[in-house]
This record gives sequence, C-alpha cells and structure tokens, in this order.
Amino acid sequence: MANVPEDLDLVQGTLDVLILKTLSWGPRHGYAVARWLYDTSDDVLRVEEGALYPALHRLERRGWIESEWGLSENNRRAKYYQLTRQGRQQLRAKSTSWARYAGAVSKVLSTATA
Amino acid sequence: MPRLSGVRRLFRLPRAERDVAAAVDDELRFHLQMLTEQLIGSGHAPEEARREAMRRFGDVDRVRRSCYDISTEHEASMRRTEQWTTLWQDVKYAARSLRRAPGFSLVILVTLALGIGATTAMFSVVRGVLLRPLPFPDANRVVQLWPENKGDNSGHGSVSSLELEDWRRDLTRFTAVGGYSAGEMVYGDGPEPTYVRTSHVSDGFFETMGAPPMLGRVLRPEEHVVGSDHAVVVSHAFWQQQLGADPQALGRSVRLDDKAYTIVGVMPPDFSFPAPRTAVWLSSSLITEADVCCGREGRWLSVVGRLRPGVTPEQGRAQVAALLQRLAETYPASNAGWTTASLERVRDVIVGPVRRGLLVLFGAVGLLLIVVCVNVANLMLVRGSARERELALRAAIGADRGRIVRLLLTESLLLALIGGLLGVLTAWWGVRALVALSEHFLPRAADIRVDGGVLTFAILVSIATGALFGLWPALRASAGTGTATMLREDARGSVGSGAANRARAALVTMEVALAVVLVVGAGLMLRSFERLTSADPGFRPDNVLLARFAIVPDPRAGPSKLAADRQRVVERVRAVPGVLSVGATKNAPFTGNPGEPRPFTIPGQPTPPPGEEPRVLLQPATPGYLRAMGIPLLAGQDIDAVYGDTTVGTVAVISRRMAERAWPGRSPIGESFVFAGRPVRVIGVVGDVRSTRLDSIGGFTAYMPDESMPRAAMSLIVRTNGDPAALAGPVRAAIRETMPGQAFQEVVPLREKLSEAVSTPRLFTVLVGIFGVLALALAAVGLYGVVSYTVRQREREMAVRLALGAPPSRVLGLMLRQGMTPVALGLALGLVGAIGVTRIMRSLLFEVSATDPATYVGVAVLLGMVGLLASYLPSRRAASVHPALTLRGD
Repeated sequence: MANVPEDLDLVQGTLDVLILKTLSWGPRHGYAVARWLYDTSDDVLRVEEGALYPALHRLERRGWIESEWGLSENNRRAKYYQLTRQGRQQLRAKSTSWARYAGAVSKVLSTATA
Repeated sequence: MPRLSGVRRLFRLPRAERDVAAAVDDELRFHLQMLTEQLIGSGHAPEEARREAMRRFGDVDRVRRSCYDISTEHEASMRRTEQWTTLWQDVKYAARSLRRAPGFSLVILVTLALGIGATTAMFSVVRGVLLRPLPFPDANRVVQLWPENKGDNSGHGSVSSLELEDWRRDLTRFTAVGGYSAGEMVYGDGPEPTYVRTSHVSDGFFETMGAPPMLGRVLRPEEHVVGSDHAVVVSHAFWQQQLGADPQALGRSVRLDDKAYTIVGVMPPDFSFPAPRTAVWLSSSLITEADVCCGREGRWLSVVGRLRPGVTPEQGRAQVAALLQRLAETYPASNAGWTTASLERVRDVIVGPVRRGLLVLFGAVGLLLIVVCVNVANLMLVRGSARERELALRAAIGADRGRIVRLLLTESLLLALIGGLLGVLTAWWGVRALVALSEHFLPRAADIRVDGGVLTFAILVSIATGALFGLWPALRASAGTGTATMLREDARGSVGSGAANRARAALVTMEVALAVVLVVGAGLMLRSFERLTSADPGFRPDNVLLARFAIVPDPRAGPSKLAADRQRVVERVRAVPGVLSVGATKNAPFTGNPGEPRPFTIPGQPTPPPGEEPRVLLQPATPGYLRAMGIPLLAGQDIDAVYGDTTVGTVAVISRRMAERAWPGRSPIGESFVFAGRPVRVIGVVGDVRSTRLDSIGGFTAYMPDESMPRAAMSLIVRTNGDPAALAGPVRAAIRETMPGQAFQEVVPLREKLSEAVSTPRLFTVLVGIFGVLALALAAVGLYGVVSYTVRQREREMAVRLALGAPPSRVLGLMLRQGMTPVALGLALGLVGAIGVTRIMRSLLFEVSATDPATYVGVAVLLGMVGLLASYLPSRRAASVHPALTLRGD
C-alpha cells in the first residue's frame, strides 16, 4: 500500500480518468475495472478497492458513464458500466491535459536534478 | 448488450429508495465474492481469503453510504428530468394540436382574453379602491366623527373652532382628534394664477392621520396660533408639478390668495385626505371671518379621530354623544339639538359610496367569466367529439385514461395560460382606460394599477379557468370510448351519442341563463341611468355657461366693496354679445358643498323644541340669477324687483317645498320667517332645485339678495342662445377686464357639471352593459356552434327525411326546435335567477325596481330573438340539404 498521494483531488481526478480509460475498451463491471487497474499499473496506483465504487457512481451521476445489470462470466448478476458519448469526450480532454501536466511536471523535475 | 438508453431507462428505474440501497449492496457483494474467490484460487485458505478481500476493499460501510447517497440523488434527478420531459412533450403535443385547428384556437383565445382580461381589470379596480390599505398606519382606527342634529338630515354635521377644543380635550377614548375644512385657494401671482385644493386643518389633524411626511414635518401646535400660522404642508403632486420636485423645497415660500406662506413639509404620494388632489394643508386658525372664527354658531370643521387601541368604535361614539349632551346643556344657544353622534371609519367614508357598485361589477364580471368558461367548454366538447377517433386510436395503442385526460388538460391549460397572457394585456390596457375615465370621480382611482398581486390573480384565474373548461370535456372525451366500436364506427353515419348532445344542450342552457342575468342587470342599470339623466333638475342647464372664481377680498374694504365688485362683473358680462341673462350666487347647483342649512322659525306658529326647528339653505343671489338659471318663478316677485331698495328690509324668494310645508294651504307671499333673530319677508316662490344629486331634492332653499354675502366665492351663470362653450373665452376676457389677473376655478357649460354628477352611475352602467353584451354575444356564438354541429351530424338523417318527402320547412322546424329548447330553458332559469341576484343592486337603482317588468320582458324578447337567429342560420342549411348528393356522398 505505498504511494498513496496526500492530495485527494489528485487521487479522485486521477481515478476518474483511469476508470474512463478502462471502460473505453468496452463495458465492464466494477470488479473487472479494479482488476484491470491494478494489473496494468503494476500496483503503483493502488488505493483501497472500495474507493472505486463511489467514483463509478459519481461518474454515472455526471452522465459520463451509464450502467446496466447483466450476467458475469461465471453467471452471476453484475452491474456493467460503459462510457457514454459525453464520457468519451471527457476521456479525450482529460487524457490530453494529463499528458501535458505530466510532461510539465517531469520536465521541471528532470531540470531540478540536472 | 443492446443500447437503447432513453427507452430502457424507463423500465429499469428502481423507483423506491429501498431499490437503490439493494442495488448498491448487490454490487459491492459481487465484488467481495469475486475477490475472495480469486484469492482462494491463488492458494489462500477460504477464511483468510475473505479477511484479505475485506482488507483490500477498505471500509465497506463508508463506501456503501457514499454510493447510496450519490445514487439516490441520481435517481431523483433522473425522475425530475423525466417528468419535465413528459410535460414538455405534452405541451409540444398540445401546441401542435392547437395549431392544427387555428380557427378554433383563435376563437377560444379571444374569448378567454376577453373574460380573463375583464375579470383581471375589475380585480385591479377592486384591489386598488377597496382592498389596498389606506396610507395611514392602523387606518381602521381612524374614524370620522359627526355631530348630529334631528332637524338637519344631512347626517354629516360639523363643529365650530371653539367646540373642537372641547372635543380635543374631553375625548379620552381617542389618541388624537382634529378638524378640517376643504376648499380652494388661488396659487401663484403670475398672469395665469390657478386654483389649488386646500384644506384648513386644526392641531391634531396630522396626529390623527398618523401618516409621516415624506420631507420635512407637519404643522406644529404653535403654528396653529393666529399670527404665527404661515406654515403649510404640500402634497407630493404639488411638490412635483409646482416646485419641480425641488429637494430644497422646505423653507420656500408659496403665495396663496395673495399671501405668502412657508413650506415646512411634503406629504407622501398617496396621501390626499380629505379630498382627492388636495395640494396644500394650512392651519384652521387662518380663517378669521367673523361668522366662523370666534363663536360657537359657526360650524365649519369636520372632525376626525384616532381610536385608542382596545376601544371599540361604539365606545368611541358613545363618548362623543355624551360630550354632545353636556355641551347642549352648557351652550343651549349654539348646541341645542346637537345631541347625537355618528362614527364611520375613514375608509368607509372614502370608498363606501362606490363599494356596493364595485362589488356588483366584480360579481357581474365573475358571471361573465363563467359564461366564457362554459362557452369554451362547449367548443372543447364539440372538438372533443371531432377527435373521438384520434383519442380512441391513442387508447388502442396503450395510452391509459389518465394519460389522455392529462393530454387534454394540458391543452386546456395551455390555452388558458395563453389566453390569460392576452387577458393581462387586455386588462393592462383596460385599467389604463378605466383610470383615465374615472380618475376625477372614483375615489382612490390613482391606486388602481396592474401589479404583482393582480398578475398572481390573473394566473390563478387562468389556471382555474383552464381546469374548469377543460376537465369535464377531457373526462367525457376519455370516458366510455369503447375503443373497438369507436374505431369501427363510421362517424359520418352516426347521430352522435345522446349523452354528448345532452351535455352540449346543458352548457347552452347554462350560458343563456347566465347571459340573461347579466343582461337583466345591464338593462336595469340602463333604465335607471336614463331616469337619472332625464330627471328634471329644477333649472334649465342647457345653453348656460358657468364661471367659478373668487374675488380676492381687499382686507381694508368691507363686504360692500365685494358686493360692488360682484355687481361690476355681472354688468360687464351682461354686455358680452350673445349673452341673454347673467346672475351670480355663491355655489351654483352641482358645484360642490352648498353650505349648512340654518334653523328658522315662523312667527305665529308653535315653536318646535330647540334643535328641532326646520332648516333652510340660504342662497345669496344677484339679480338675474334665477332667470339665468331658468328656475321658474311660481308666485310673487323675483329678487330683481327689490334689489338695491333699502326700504324693503330683508327679503327672500323661497322654494316651493318650503312654501308648501311652512305655510300649508295658503300663500306665503308677504309672510315672514325668522332666522338668526332676523325676520325675513317672503316676496316670491320658485321651483325646487336638485342641487347636489340628481336623485334627490335637497331641503328648503331661500334665495336672498347678495348684498350681505360675506364670502368672495362666486358662481357666475351666463345664459346664451347658442353654444355656451363658445362664450367661455369672451366671458373670461370680460371678467379679467373688470378684475385684472382674476383666476378661475372653471369656466364650463353647466350641462357638464350635471354630467359629472352622474359619472359614477354612468361608468357602472357602461361596464355592466359591456359585460352584458359580451355575455349575450358569447351565448349566441355558443348556441350557433352547437346547432351547426348538430346539423352536420344529422345531415344524412335530414337528407333521408327530405328524400322521403318531408317538406323543408318541417326539417327547419325540427332543427330550430332542437336549438331553441335549451334557450327557452336557459331563459326561464335566467329570469328566475335574475330576480334573486339583482336584489343586491337595489341601492344602485334610481326610480327603477329590481324586478322592473319592462326590463325582464325586454330581455326575454331580446334573448329569444338572438337565440332564434343563432339557431336559424345553421338550421337553414339542414333544410337546404340536397338529398341525392348527401346520400351518394357515402
């Protein structure tokens, strides 16, 4: 459980954009989103898995994703989320600003160490 | 997964909060189970796996709570959106279906605009005049106090300056008591001085009113003392119009009747007591004429008081009466007989005379609004029948009854709201016109406006109207649509359901009944107004010019100088070309307060107890006055005969009533009556005159030569044989020639003053008349619509009848009978209703009974004829149907 950033806004904003990204390949349920997040981020971005759900519900409330109950791969009732058109636009906008932000931060940091 | 989000959401919505919570729990449980299973799969023991899953998940309760909150809010907002969307859809649909029938919609909108507009305009008037609070704090405690004398039936007595002091000292049940007397004074000293309304007020007047000045202060007690009473308070309108709204107006000097006064205060805009458009308030101590200032005989101040909190009006009145009893014992010479008192709230004094009339008008406009609703409901019903197939189709594809009712109601409400909007515009325009017409005679006309309260009223009325005319047709249209039969049924072949026809007939009956009530009311008002205006005033008002002004008295000269000035003016005007005769008096009929009648006795006849003597109004007149007015001399001589003759003593020409009552059965010529200890010899008798109201002859009048008339006020009466208005300029010029710089209160044809006296009944008559005509027109339109609809429905039947040999006149009769049945029924109901309803109008009618047979018969005939015409026009078509064409058309 390392590297939990102090800044909650950052966590939330980051988590939101990561969820949107995860859903950009198609509908999934919350557990799948969590697995995919942890597997691809090499446990670096790990937060408590429960924190995922308020984020999902908030995104749905904003209309960026929508949900529907369906059957999981092992035939259980599960709630599937998928991106809306608005969510897709958000993802594009957020990815761009994230890249710019990350680039700027890393540039500053590399200058400082040089 | 199929993606049909809009539609799908409708079915998926977990409606209750419980469902939201359950969904959240399911979702979280699924996650924990999956995680546990995965951990077991990677080698953990089940118990350990569960613990590890919980650890990784974090605080389940907190997560659940926060998911639950977000979801609940989400659901609520989705529901709201959905409701708005449905409403918007309904509105869009309603608008579309109204646009599809533009003629129908237009007729309904015009009808509604008239109905709601008239109602809203009348409400503005009622609100402004009757409901809006007076501009005094605790206005309900401000009361008018009138001493009463049995011999004086005016009921509105006044007190002397000295007596007012007693009232102010002894009336402990009032926090303040004050007196006032309204008049007019010349303002300014330029070439065109004007008259302004003034009120001389005593100390205590402003305290009683309680209205704080907008600028400066009101009069102080020390400013009510002779010699230091040059301070005045002016009205907001005077401040704006004459002083240019100068913020430094306080301390400025104004000239009134050629004397300088200092402004100490400006009252707020809505304060105008005692009379509308009062411009200046001055101290009553300024009136120094010997006959009013100093004794107890000169009654000239009206009294107002402010009841102490907790004191009832009756307790207040009782204290005044008790004081009057004491005063009558202490000062029998001046107060005998003045032993009772009446009390009236100032609000009632101001608006009392028009309250009944306004409420009747408001009731009438309410009836009109119901007629409008009935008429629109009728149109909706007819249209509803035309749409039966459309609605049946909707029902067939799954719309439930509630949904159809809602749809139709939305249509009605949309119509009502648009109609209401147009109505508010109509009302706004109507109120402006009404105020412009009535501001000179309707009390508080300046307070009438279309404001927030009125708008709220209009919206509520619109919604109520929409519900009223929409609900029944909606329920009818949606009920009993046996879907399958309706769709199969050939609408052209049907005769129309009996129930629907009965409903339409019932509506027409109602409309006609209401219209009858309104038209009867209008008819009664019209007849009363006709009686009122054709009442003989006792003089001949045509071809007469009235000039009112006051000769500003020279303080150094006595009353004889005034009389001489007056005589010079009369002589000069007599020389104006076109003038037949000229005369002057103090206050001509219909020019304001004629003055206080004075008690008199007759030598040789038993003297009534003090205070119960008969009273006579003394009217000073110059020679020629009676002739110029056209007041007929019935016996004896005119005052002209003795004018200037110093040997005849005091003489008078008396009115016929006085002659008949005081000297019954014999000639009064040469007899005397005693007034204020002076014998007055009767030299002539003239006709009675209605001097303040057309609907009543006042008390006794005695015309006396004006030589001793102390007052400068003057009504000059000029008779011509042409248009009196054309003489206004020359007469004005002639007077100014004699009296340079003379200001005029008015120079108008005398006929106009009579016309002004009936302004209020005229306005009420015109308004009730408009409402009556509208109701009649609506009823006719409604009837026409229903009969034409029936004719269209029965066209085939008529064609068959004609084809089988029925004469067209029979077919016509059949249709006419169907149209006239509800008319006859409505007429009967309406006449009975009118007898009941018009009773409340009794006090508004002059010389016409509320059950005046002529009016009722006239209305019945009128309504019958209108009904006949409205059913004849469409019925004619039924009789002229071409059988072959109609039947082949199928």
